[in-house]
Amino acid sequence: MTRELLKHVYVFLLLFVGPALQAQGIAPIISEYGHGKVNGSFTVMNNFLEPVSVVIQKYSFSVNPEGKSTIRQLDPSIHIELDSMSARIGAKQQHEFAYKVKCDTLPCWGTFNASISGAHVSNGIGLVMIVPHTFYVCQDKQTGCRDRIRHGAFHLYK
Amino acid sequence: MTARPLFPFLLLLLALMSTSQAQFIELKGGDSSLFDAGGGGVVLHFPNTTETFGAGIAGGHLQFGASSAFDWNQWHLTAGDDYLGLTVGTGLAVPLRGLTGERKWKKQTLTVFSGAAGQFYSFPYFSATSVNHFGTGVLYQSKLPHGLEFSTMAVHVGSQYTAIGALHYLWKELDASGAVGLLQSQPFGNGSISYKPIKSLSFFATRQNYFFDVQQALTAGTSSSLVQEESTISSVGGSANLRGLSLSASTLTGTSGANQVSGQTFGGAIHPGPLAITSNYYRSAHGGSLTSAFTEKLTRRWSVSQFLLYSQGKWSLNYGGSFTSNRLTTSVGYITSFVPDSPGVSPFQQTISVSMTWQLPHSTTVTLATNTLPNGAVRWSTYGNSYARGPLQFGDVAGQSRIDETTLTAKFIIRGIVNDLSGTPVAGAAILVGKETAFTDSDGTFFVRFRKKNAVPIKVVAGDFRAPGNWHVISAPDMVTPEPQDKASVVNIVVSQVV
Repeated sequence: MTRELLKHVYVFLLLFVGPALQAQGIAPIISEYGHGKVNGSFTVMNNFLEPVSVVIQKYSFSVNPEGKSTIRQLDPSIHIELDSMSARIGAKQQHEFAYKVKCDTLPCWGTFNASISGAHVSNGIGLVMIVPHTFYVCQDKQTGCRDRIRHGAFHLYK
Repeated sequence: MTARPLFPFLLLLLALMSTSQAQFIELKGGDSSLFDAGGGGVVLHFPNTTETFGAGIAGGHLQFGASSAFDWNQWHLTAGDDYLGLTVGTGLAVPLRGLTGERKWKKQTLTVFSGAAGQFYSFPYFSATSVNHFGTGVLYQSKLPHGLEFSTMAVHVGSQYTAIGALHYLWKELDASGAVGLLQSQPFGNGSISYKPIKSLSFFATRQNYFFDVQQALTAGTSSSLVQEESTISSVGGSANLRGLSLSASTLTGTSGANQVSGQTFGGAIHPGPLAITSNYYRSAHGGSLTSAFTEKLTRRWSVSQFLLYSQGKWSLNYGGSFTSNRLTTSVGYITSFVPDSPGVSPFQQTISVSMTWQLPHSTTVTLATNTLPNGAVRWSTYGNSYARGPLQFGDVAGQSRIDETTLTAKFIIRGIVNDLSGTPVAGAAILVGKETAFTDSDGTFFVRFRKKNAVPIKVVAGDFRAPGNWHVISAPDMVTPEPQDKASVVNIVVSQVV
């Protein structure tokens, strides 16, 4: 019976936990770092049925007190090193991008936009899906870094 | 040969004939002593329909399945194998073979079914259904105001009735769900509630009914029958997070037939720097057992673990860990399960698991896993799947699906820029550098990192550009040499779009 029970538990996990893990195109969506040190990574998941190509671009952004965000070229005070800036990901596979960030002033923040597109088209429109990974870096502790930046720099309190 | 054994082969023949028309083809196969099943399946994705075929040996018998899913008017129809699933409060699924129709409105979903019902075999590598009774059923789900969600399912299979009503309520930090009714003509009741009064404190209470069809040998090695057994697990507990220290406690009660067991768990976890320390104490009528795990994240890819176990007066130390890369993910760890039907031994049972998953070229993934059960028996599973564009064009246009394994520690780099004849940067150009395919960003730039300073060939793969249109190469070098990152020159490539 033990084996039978375990079998059902595993089948249950495969049926219901597996699909949940596959639900997003990028993970984590947000990363917080403390003590000015950033040695992070994010994973792009290809949930399509064919291989895709991914190109990573880095940007700075700001948010006004109403919550509207504006994206711009990466600030020169933020230095980012990526292990790779593009990849091809097989159907239902995933790829991890590693990065290091060094900021001249803290706190700092930025975003990586992963633009995902499918096979080459000779005629018509090439569709691109963009999913972001955002990082926040604080001088003090990691926990609550995003909230402190939202309150201190963006004056967002909701 | 009777008509029944012929049927799976006819299905396979139909699947093979259909591949020539399919837009995408998914192939999968595997074998497992843990699941006691081996087989394979094909999923064919057409523009308007999805066809699924599966066949294999499960529990010593040949099982097969096939289905075709398509839209008709405002209904989503499935002809063949499907299941009627009531997820709210139950996680219940009734396996079916026949015609299933689903209609969705803004806040309501209605599913109706008619055909036959039986047993469902679902594995990572094939799905099959064995049916033995006529069945018909209906499932209705509705989202109500004030965070309420109502679901009801009524199914008639053979001489047995299933009629269940379920309610889910979500309000701020309170999450409650419950289901009551008849499951295969037997009383059934499930419920769970969780509440988080403050951010660092949470409580929960659950009661779950489980029904299992257990293969029971009548005479050793000759014949067997399916016997339905019921287990009920109830648990109450809570957890608190105090300045990085997580504490949890729960009490569990399980009944399975005449066997009744209970136990308590107490746990703690702390994450000082790259270290994660978790410790759990499990108490039952058969004594206490302690499981402590010390996990250290050595690098982004590597972590090592030590597992300290105390059970039945004995201490043991085991080692595990994990390695994660873009090509291979492997881990060795321990899982503690609460198993109510375990007479004479502790209901808390430790299982050692080892798993390896490879992401291979051409959209192929292979997994190998072993599980050492509490009685020492080793069970293994191996399975894989692959995706192709129909008709059976595997992988990518350029045939390069290699997964980049460079790291930030790679000292050398090749940088480049792709422009058109007017000097405008070309975004999405595909450049094969050595064995890696790089794509340019919106500035037309690309880079690839290397561990060694060996010259590599460089090639523009016009047929793989992300940018639409037909492209040809005006100028590009044949070979390039990686250089140190701070001294790397820029490789210039010029392409032109054919109008």
